[in-house]
Amino acid sequence: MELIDRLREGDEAAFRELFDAHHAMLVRLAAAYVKSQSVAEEVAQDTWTAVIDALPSFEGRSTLKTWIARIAINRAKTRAQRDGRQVPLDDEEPPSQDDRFNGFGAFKRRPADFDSPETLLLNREVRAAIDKCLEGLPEQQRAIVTLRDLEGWSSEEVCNVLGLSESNQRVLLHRGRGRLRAALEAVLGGRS
Amino acid sequence: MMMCRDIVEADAEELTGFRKLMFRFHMSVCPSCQAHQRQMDATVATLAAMPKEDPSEDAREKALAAFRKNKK
Repeated sequence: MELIDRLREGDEAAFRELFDAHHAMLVRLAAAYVKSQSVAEEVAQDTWTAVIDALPSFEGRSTLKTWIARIAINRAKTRAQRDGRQVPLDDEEPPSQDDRFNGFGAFKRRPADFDSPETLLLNREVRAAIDKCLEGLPEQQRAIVTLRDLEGWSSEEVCNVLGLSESNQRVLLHRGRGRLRAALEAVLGGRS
Repeated sequence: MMMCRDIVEADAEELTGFRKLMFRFHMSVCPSCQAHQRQMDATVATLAAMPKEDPSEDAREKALAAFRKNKK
């Protein structure tokens, strides 16, 4: 039996499965819009209540995952509006402050190789730098990076959930990844 | 001509025709841009490897309680 059918029949094990599969994603996604981790947790909790209420009307036109994510985004945006959270809009991107280039636009020196992800993530400073950088990203960039890179969603799924064109999504993802790369380089001290 | 700054800022998938060829040529001969690309790849791989926090038992119980309530 499909997960959705088990959920509609009130199967608790099915709900637990759904919750365990998506709760962390919902918190990460909500955090792109609201002011703190604790509010993101609240939004995720509210999302589950809304999902439970709306299960009978789920039509299967999207996957359960993207349907739930869309509900979370709507809830998070409403909550951010209520809390008066001000975040920079994506089109307010400051001009590039990249000083790695000379006057001709060539690299002054070769960028250093980073360690493996496993080694990098053992470094608390690296983890803190990533968290801080994510917090500073404009909301759409953060939502895109969260879904594409942290959660491993496809470009199509992200465009669908966030209502973005493929090209716009790619530009924002590129900007977000660029900022995170710079944050990692800064904390690693540009060592070669 | 595309310089390193143009390469770093370019959306490679959006490039077409001559600019795409220029991009590919630059990438094939420039060790700095190749190193930049390795940094970008490592950044993406690091994000993918970020550990997920397990949901708290409290959060799971609250959601399950809502599910049970709705069932009745």
